[in-house]
Amino acid sequence: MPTYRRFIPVLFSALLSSVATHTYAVEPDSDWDTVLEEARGQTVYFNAWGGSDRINNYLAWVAKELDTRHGVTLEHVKVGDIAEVVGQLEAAKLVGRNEDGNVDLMWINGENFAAMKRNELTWGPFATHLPNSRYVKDSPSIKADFSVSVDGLESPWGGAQLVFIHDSAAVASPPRSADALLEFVRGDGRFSYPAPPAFHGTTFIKQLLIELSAESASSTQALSEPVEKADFNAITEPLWRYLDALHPLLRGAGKSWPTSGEMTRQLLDDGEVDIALSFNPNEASAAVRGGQLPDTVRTYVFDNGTIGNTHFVTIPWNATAKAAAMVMSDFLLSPEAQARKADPEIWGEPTVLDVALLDEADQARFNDVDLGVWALPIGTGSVLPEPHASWTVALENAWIERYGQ
Amino acid sequence: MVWLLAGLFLFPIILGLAGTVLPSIGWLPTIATGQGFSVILSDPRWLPAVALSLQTGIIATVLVLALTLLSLICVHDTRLWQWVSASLPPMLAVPHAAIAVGLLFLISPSGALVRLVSPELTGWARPPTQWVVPDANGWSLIIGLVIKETPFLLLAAVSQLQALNVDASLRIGRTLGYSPARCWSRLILPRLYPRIRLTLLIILAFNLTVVDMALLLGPGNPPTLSVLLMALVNDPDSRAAASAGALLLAGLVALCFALMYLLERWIAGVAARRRRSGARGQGFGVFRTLGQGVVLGLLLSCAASLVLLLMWSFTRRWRFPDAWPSEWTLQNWTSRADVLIDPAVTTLSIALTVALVSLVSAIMWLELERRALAPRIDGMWFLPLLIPQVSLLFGWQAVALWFGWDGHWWTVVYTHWLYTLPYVILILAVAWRELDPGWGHAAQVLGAGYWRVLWKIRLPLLLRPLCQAAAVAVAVSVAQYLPTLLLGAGRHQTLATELVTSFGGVDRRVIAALAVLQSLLPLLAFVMALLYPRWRMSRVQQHVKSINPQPVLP
Amino acid sequence: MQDELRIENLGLHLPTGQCLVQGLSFSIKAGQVLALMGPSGSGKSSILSWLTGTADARLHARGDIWLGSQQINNLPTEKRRLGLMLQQDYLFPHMSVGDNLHFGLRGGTRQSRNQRVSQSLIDAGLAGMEHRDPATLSGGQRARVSLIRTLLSDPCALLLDEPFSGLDTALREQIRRFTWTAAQNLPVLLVTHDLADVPAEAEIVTIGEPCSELDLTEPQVQ
Repeated sequence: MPTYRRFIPVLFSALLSSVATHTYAVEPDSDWDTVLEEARGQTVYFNAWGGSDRINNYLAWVAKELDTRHGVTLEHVKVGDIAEVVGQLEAAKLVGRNEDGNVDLMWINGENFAAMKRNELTWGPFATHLPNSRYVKDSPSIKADFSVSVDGLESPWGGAQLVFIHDSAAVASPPRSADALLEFVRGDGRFSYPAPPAFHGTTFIKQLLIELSAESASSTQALSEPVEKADFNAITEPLWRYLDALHPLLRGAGKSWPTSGEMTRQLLDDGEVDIALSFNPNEASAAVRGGQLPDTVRTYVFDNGTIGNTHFVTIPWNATAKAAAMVMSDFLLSPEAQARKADPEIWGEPTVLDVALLDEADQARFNDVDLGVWALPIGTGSVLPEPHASWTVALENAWIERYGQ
Repeated sequence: MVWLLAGLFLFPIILGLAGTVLPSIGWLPTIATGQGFSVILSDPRWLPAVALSLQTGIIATVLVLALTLLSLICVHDTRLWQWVSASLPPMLAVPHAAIAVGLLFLISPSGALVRLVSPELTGWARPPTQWVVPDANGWSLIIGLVIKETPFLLLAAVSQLQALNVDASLRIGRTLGYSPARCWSRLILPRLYPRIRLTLLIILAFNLTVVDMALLLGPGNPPTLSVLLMALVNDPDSRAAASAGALLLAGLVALCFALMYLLERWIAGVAARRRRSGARGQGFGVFRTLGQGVVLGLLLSCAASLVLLLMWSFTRRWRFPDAWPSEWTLQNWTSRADVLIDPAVTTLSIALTVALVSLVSAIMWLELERRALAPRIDGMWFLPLLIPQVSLLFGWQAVALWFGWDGHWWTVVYTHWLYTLPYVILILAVAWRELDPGWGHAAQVLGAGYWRVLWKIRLPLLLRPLCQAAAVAVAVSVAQYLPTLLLGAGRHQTLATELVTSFGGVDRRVIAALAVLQSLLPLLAFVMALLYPRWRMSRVQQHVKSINPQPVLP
Repeated sequence: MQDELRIENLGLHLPTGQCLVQGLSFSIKAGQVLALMGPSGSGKSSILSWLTGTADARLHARGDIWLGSQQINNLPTEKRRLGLMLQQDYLFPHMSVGDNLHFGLRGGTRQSRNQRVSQSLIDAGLAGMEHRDPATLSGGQRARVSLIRTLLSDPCALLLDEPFSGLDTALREQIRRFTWTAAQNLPVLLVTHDLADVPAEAEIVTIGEPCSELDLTEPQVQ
């Protein structure tokens, strides 16, 4: 009888192992061998925007490598908007679900990271303890995510910059500033942008806002600080005046909008618009090689530069497979994975590593990448910093209130 | 057993409604904070979204009814009818999302219709700018809903025609000098309408509250009400507002039901007065041609959407205004296999399990009902189809979240079951009640107990409707978007969720492949449901041929 | 040798309370045929379905059924061992002739079962038809298959409900002879409205006399 008594709880916990509590040893600063050991056999639920099949394909390769190298299974949970996942985590925090969360690792930056940091939904400063973090570029946009200090709570994954793609066969000299864009659509140019809060759309109106307030030093200063401190109406007034003039001339007359940056690229290929938006300077190369754009397309940025930022991965506080999530974050930072990601044939996204810090063999991986004439020529256009994270939601809400009804 | 089954069925409905009601009035503060009703009612998007939902839902439903009657009046009794009735089940089997994507490829300014005639007939070297798809007024959504729901109502009507003895009515009416159109409107429609009313209500509720089609074909800015609520539900700050909105949506649907009832009474009154006029009506040659054209257009646009999906899935390059792809490829299928296979396997495993569980539970219920151990309550099964999905599932998701059931495979299957069981049980109920009890008695008298009779006699005799019901269950499950999305917690990606969430972002050609795959599964299920019973019978008959080639005796 | 079939004090009333039969008793010895005759609607078929336990549950019935010394009216249909033949033969369409015959067999080794089925087909003049689809049989063949299927289930009595009325006149006589030969060791209850169906030596019971309505005290009826 006594043996049975002891046996039953064991049996139960074995039965419930998929749902019940486990105690994990790893901490954000655990010894790396411990992390690797614990990660073996775990499954990482990686919540990431699933709207691009290039990225999905890249992640499929990551899954294969993680499985063979570290015995880690990767499940890519495709989400439309990572803000929803942040919302779910907030809900889990409220109901006190502090363990066995559904999300082990998530793709994030900007306002969503700010919200996670604010609500203490991140796990801890794991990023600085990853072995490959020593190669990461020393750059302000990696240390601070939309002006919010990163503090090792998220690990950098890739860099991005707002770029424009046009078909040189249809439009020889595309507009290179906000004002030129307005002139362009007045003269029958075809253009539209994704409706905020779609990521590309929000970035586009931020770009306009920065450009339209460039002449006022106080406005430029206000954009780098929390929106609560600023006179929002006064600073954004030029933006709304501009959009009021722009919208009736857009494809869909400001009433029907593309849903994503990728969709503007497709509309460019169809000829429904003349200019597509992308957050990836090399996207056009990849698209031409994949048969999604004609080889007459070129990528460019506004003369005064465009917004750029870094995106990250982070581990929620209640993640189930934290060790495997760390292993995956580290693998994403490895020269091999980063070089593969930079290849336009695969994904074509700028790396977050400082290539000069790598050894020769790894440097060669990056030098072998052929960007092609379709990508943004290296060294063109300066990178403008993102406004403070709090501006994102304020701008989105103001946009929706004005144009979303 | 009765209570267990009915309880399992009603449990998510009751808890789901409670889980929607409570947060909206400020209870369950841990899941949803804040005052739901005041927030949603003061949202600037509320009124436009309500107006848009009403507009698309009501116009689409009126068109569905009109087209159904038009096909019956103009096409019944013509050669076209065979085509129409044969194409109904496959049209019904194709999931909403797939049709929506195909339709986008068809009617966009840069879509296949314009490509086919440009620039030769139109002079358009670049896509026209006169319209966009999806348009801001919801017409694209309306077209999609009409294409998808008309076959449903038409099939419901066709299954009633025999009981109504239409041919005799037409003969009698015409010998009395009434035109065929008048025969339909005065002799048949008044009797047909009550028999399809419930289906029409289901369609109205669906059209007012659909999410997946509205995401793909509806305007985004503002969206329809259910899409707006979907954007709110996952944020704890606005969950209360989403719940309140979902309740108001349910109220809106109920209001539309009431309006439909009043309209029905009024039309019945007018019709009764006009019936007494004795007017015989004119011949209806032109009207008939017009009606046939519209019905043909409906069939063709559905078929064209499917063909376009198939074409795009094998296209490498197809630029405007080429009428035909310039480069073909298998790559969309081969190099993207991982994007396709995983969701296909998940979809299939859920669909097959749901079909099996639905069949078993429907058989259990109908057997209990047959032996007078369960009451006959057909109305109960319609509940999930009449309550808007968002109103029910927001709450059910909250409950699942509360108990930690979200994200489990069985929770997804359970929720799908809620939506497949009504169809399965209603299809089987007809067959079950019609089956001559003499077969069972004959087997019992030969010494077979209950289970042997069920297994060896009743089920094999009902093989055809069982297969049909299973195919319908597979089709319904494969098309489910919202239950998978809300209860799957992102862990169970089916073709439906994959298609809708990745649309707009992912390569159009891979989207096409996904949509082809999503259409293929239910179509295969229908083909198998058609062939399997024949194959079973042919096994018996093959012996006949091999052993005794004698012709059939009198 | 089989036992006799005995019905005691049978009363049958429709759900409406209308009386079909009252106080009906009879017994049939093995090898004896009793013909139950009466106008249509007089309840002949209801009596048979009550005997087999397949009657509509709403029928008010009382009375006892005995097979020899065993009272069987509380047994489920499949345990009563009463063979039943109706005007419709109910050959299962999804089974071959052989499967239909196998269906009624009780116990025995596979070999002995196959043996019995083949032998009975030979006896019925249907040799080699084991694999036929019932749908390809003629009316007379179907009637014979139906009868041997019933007999293979080893019934203790045979109940026949207008078994010959679906056949054309030429066949009728043939099937009648076949039936009486096959059933010669069993008590047989024959329901018919055609006197020609009844063998010369059979006893005839006529029903259809007016009888008193059931006093429906149950509130749910009427």
